Amino acid sequence: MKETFRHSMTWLHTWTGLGVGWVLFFMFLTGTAGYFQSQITRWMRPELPLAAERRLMAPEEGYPLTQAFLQKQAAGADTWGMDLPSPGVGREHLSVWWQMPEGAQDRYGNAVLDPTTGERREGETARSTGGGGFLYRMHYHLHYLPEVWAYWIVGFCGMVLLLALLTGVITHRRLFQDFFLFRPAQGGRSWRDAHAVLGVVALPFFLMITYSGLVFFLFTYMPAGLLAVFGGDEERLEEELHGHDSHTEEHQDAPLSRSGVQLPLPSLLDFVAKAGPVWPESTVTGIRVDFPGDSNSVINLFRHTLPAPDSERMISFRVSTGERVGSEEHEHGEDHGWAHEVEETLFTLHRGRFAGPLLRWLYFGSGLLGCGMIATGLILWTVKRRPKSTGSETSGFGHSLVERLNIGTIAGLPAGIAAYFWANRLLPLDWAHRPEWEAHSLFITWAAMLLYPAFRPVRNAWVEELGFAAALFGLLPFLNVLTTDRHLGVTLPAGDWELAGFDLTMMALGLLFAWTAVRVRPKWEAFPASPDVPEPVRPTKSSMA
Amino acid sequence: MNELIFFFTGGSLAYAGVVCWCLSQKRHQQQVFREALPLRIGWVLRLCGVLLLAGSLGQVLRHQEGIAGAAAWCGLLTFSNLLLISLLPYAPRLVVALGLAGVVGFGTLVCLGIPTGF
Repeated sequence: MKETFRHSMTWLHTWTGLGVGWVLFFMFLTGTAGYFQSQITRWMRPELPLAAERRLMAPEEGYPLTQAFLQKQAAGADTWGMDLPSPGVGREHLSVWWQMPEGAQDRYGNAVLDPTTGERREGETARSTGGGGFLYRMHYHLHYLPEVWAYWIVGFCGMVLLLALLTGVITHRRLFQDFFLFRPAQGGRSWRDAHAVLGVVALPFFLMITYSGLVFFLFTYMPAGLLAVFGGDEERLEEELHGHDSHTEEHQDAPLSRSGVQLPLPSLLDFVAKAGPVWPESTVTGIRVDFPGDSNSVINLFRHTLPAPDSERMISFRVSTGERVGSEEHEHGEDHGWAHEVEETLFTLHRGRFAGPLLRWLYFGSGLLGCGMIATGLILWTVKRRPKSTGSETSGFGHSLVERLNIGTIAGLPAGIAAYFWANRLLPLDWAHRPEWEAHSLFITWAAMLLYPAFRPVRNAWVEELGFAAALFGLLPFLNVLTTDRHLGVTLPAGDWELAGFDLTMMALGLLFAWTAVRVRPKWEAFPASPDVPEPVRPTKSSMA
Repeated sequence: MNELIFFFTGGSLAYAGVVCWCLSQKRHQQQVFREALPLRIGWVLRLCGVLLLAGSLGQVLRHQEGIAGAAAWCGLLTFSNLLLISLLPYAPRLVVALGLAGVVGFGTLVCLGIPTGF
């Protein structure tokens, strides 16, 4: 047993952190990329029009076209749906869908409409890709593993991270006195400072993200309450948690079937106009009509562009009376239980769903700080345990393994993610297995990067892998020039910042890795030593972010 | 645009706040001014730090209420601290200069009548 409480906590912090550090690094890096998943997906589908060429449609332009089309195509349907192009949520086209009554032939249908003529036009032509969503899902879903296993592994690592964060705070001797302390170029001490600084400055973010992340799969990890109170019936729990099921709620005082009495559908724009006072600052980007042409018809208006909780995303009107359906209370979500509010708040915080562009960057940056904290922690473990003098001792197997896993993950995983983007540009366009092989490229590259250090001295492997990652990221915009017409030479003059921002970020990452490699290199040359004796490598803390 | 202004004002006040708090510590006073400041000044700096941080929280909340505002403020505070800590060993005077520049910039915006909430 360790002699003091703090000693035990330090011990716990060290070994829990080491045990799950690499998986956590993976979760943090892919999750961080997830904050820009729609931008990543956009870049991975270069066939879509540039922002400037994209026609954003006003409701006055779009809905008359969709209504006329559906009237012709799907009269007598149970449901019509229509969406204006809204790139913010990944909708690029004016599109409609419909559902005919039960028993009808071709019950479901959908179409993309030409924005000028309102006629059907051939659908999406962009290449198929896993997109940013693949990276995002991977941070809790992992890959190549059954879902449930992944949730348990992720949950275990998350729980250990929470433990490591708390014990880390206890371990930190002088949290407030040393808050601003960073001493560069002092070997192990610098690594400890860097690890502590990165951990402390973003501590609220780390605690929030870890705790809320665990809550996502609460009932997978702790099913006892669900079993005892609801007999394992998750649907009943959802119902009680959310007050009423929102779907039935919205139709609460509206009939759920046809009346059989015909009532021609008035112009949808009349109802869009009624939404104006309720949503003064947003556009109605989608409409769903239940039982069009019947006197029981209900029109549901949606908005997607504003960051808003789900309960404030839809309003409904009854066609026969023109009155709103559903109570005011429901609009503000006040009939939800407080448990639901807490859950919703945690999820919203985790996903940063309310974030505008700048706050999104802060989220992204905080995520990178998390990667940096984990990376510096892992490196600190090896630095502290390196043999004191060169040539006299060799490091043990465990130490050498950790060194190599560090290189393969901290430099290798980012290289794998860059390879994922390379695969998007290089794999044949009409190949059915494109998305899978994009993913395989990531893992093949990562596996190679994990194996490579086994055959190289540690210091060389650091420089070479960092250099390789730098090349993959830095050259990506140039590969883009060669393979598409959505490169910086086009996107910058067109002012398409979503696309240009991706290429510029990749260049910045390339420079960051190159700079880190350059920082590591002289240290390596200054200490010529036998291959299996690692030397201190000391890039500064920010280079690890 | 609105978001940009409030992030700038909130961020510069937060940065100035953490600079004040940092300079209330003897170790960092020596780092920046080569000598320790009188104890009383340390307390004044600490008070200024708290007021500036409160001001920055106010700024951010004016733009974004509730939980989103709190998240934004935490983020700004994180990166203010990070900027300060990574500059301090290399360019200690620049740390203070940036803090002053931020406050002056904020003052200019207020004087120009750009909507900062004041």
